[in-house]
Amino acid sequence: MRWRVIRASAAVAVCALGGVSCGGATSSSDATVTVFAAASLTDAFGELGDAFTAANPDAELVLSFASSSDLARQITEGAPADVFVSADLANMAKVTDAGASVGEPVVFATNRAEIIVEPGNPLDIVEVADLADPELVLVVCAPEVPCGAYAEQVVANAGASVTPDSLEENVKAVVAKVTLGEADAGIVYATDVLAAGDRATGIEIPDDVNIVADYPIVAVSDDAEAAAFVDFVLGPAGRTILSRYGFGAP
Amino acid sequence: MTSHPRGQRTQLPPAVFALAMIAIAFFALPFIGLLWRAPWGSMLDVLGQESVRTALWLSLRTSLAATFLAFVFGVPLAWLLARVPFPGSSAVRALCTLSMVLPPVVAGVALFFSFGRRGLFGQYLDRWLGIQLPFTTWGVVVAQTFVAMPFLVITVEAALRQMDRRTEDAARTLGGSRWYVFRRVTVPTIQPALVAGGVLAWARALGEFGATITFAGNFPGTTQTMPLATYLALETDPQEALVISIVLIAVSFAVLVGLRDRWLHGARATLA
Amino acid sequence: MSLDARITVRRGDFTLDVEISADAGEVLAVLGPNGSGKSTLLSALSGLLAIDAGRICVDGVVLDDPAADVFVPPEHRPIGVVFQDHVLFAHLNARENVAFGLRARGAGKAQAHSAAMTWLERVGLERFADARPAQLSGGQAQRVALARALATDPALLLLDEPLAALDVSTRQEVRRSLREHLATFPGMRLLVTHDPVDAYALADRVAILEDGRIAQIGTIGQVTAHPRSRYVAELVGTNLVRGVVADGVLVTDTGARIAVAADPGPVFAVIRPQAITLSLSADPSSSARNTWLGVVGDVERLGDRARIGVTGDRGGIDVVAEITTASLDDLALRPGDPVHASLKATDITTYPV
Repeated sequence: MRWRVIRASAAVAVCALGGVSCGGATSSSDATVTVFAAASLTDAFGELGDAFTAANPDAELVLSFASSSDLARQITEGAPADVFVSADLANMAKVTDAGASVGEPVVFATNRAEIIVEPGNPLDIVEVADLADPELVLVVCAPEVPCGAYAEQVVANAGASVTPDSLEENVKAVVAKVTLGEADAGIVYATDVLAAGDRATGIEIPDDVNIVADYPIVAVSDDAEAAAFVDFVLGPAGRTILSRYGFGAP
Repeated sequence: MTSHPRGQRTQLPPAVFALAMIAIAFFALPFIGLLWRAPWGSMLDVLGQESVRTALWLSLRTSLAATFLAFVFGVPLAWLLARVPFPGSSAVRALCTLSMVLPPVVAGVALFFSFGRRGLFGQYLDRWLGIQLPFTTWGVVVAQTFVAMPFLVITVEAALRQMDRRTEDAARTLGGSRWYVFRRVTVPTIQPALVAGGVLAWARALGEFGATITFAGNFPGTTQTMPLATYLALETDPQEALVISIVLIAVSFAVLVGLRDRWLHGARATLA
Repeated sequence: MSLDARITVRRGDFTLDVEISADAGEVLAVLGPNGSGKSTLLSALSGLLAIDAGRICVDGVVLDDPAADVFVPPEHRPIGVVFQDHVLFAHLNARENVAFGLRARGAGKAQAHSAAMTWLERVGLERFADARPAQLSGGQAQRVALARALATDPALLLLDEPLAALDVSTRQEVRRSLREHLATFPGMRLLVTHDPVDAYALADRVAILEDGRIAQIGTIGQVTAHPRSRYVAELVGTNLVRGVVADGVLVTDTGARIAVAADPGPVFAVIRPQAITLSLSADPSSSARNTWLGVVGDVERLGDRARIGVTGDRGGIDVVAEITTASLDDLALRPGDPVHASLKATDITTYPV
């Protein structure tokens, strides 16, 4: 008698645990579009999302921002997303290679790296090489996330050698540390400097040293709404909003 | 058809037994899953990796330092709360143990805005003493101590309240000074609580993530402790994350199993 | 060697206000009911509590004098304390317990331990030197506690109800042991207890502590022969009344009038329970000058005797009467029954307050 109870409860437990799906495309509930987007898109996609729901009143939009690598991992492990927007091609590849995407990814915007400092540039930083000063409190993204990989490339391109004081997990954390005065400088995207407004000052990085970040977008579910969102982003409305936030054309 | 057991105390009713089994499965399965996916073949190679050894060594140093500080400041605090009645003591107790129930990130945010470079107090630390806590190993120790000390305080305070204070009186009448009595009577009496509290505090410090990454930052060798390394490794090298996780689990498990007997032993002796 | 103490301690509503002195060579028992201030007294003498007013002086050394801002902490006082239920250190064995005081005062380990063994031999427990308190019986633990207190060679030995936590048979054994060791102890000995048997068995002089004040001091004989408080009277098992005698009538504090053969003035009157006769009806022809109506209270049978509490009605006094069980059954007295009590004036012993 007792063994039956044990077997039954064990079976329930295993089913409950195994029920978490093991990757692959999933679909979320109808009319809700869940978008996983890179942290650097926080401000732009915030407004873009409002425009989308204004144009499509019966669609519900859920935006989730984190580092692209984090999001890619979650999607490959079965998180219920409808759309994936990455800050670099490498993380998009993780998702397409895992077979989680529906259709081909399309690059819809570009971004550049920029040095961010406190308002008024009190330490008179002029170029990437200035960041090598050991007295400077410098934060960048961890190399595992796109913005960190870009930062490394920029520094290498400039032929400099820097020692960051912290490797943050996403680009917004870098912005926060500088705008709050905790760090003297950081390497972020141009769009982040723009979004920070008068809480920060940006120092442009010359084209021959800078990188171009390609932002691809892809649907990861079959929902019609997912495709509708992707089209919106690629369309004229999306274009306008993105350029207002500092993103370049693809 | 099984007959009902004849009133033996150790027999659990089937429903209770089943629920207990589910609870054990709940705890065991995640670890089993982890061990199943572990790269046993390349384990030693991964362990040999500099990033892993650095993170491990840093975690050990900082968590032990945090535990030490927890003892140095936590035991006197526990003494105050247990033995000296003063108005507002329950508010003080709540304040000192608040970080135990706070989400660690919140603790990190609090530390950031008070002891960060532009923090309320941090700005003076920086300006007058040139001390900066964020992005330094000491910042990690501060974050860990902040979240771990309450565990020690609570455990030790309870033990101090519970002990028979007449033993301390007897010791004083026999000629022991207050410090002698503390060393030779109080500490041996509350020893199980000191050990339990210390272990809990250490484990909490070792596993600290949210406050560390928010306040101290993340840099290998300086502030990248094991939990931070695991989190980031997950994004590029899941194998490394697995291996670090297993190391952390093994160490914690060994400590818990090894010390459990001592807690029980000590407790039995003082019940005499 | 002497103890000279005037102690006033205020704790909340309770005030302890006593004057105590003792010499080497005598055991002073402080006897009193619970709540009378016995523990407070001991705490004050041992230094665990500071007094609010007064002076404590042992062997001419002032230990506590608030007026002169002198306070010697417990560890520097020449005292030893034996606590109720031993309070041995659970994490140390018997020998280490006994050696504790010596080591605390700076003795080396070897020296302290050998002295401890000597003391354990004296209380007959050398075989248990390595035993932990948990492994000792109540009586053995209490003897170790005694050895521990004596090992530091105190000038004043304080015993806090040392037998209270023991069961009856162990108590007898330990009381005997205590008597033996107290007899050979050279210093002053002060025993606090609520059990008069302890006082009888161990003490030379007894001080009755009631409600924070000393009601009476004297030898056992003096105190029991002339009790000056209801507490002592009850202890001794007799009736005590206080009042003023005038013209052969004692008017008690409660207003009752009793015919007595005594000289005028304020007196205590002792009425033996055996001197009271109980009857179901008043007997006007009896020679007893004192008769009153009362109500039966508690009835206690003790073999072939019975003790009956009688609450006096209308001007009669409350007494405990002792009659034979046979009479009790004959009269069929039960709690709540009315009963007539009578008492001869010559059967009342009075002595001046």
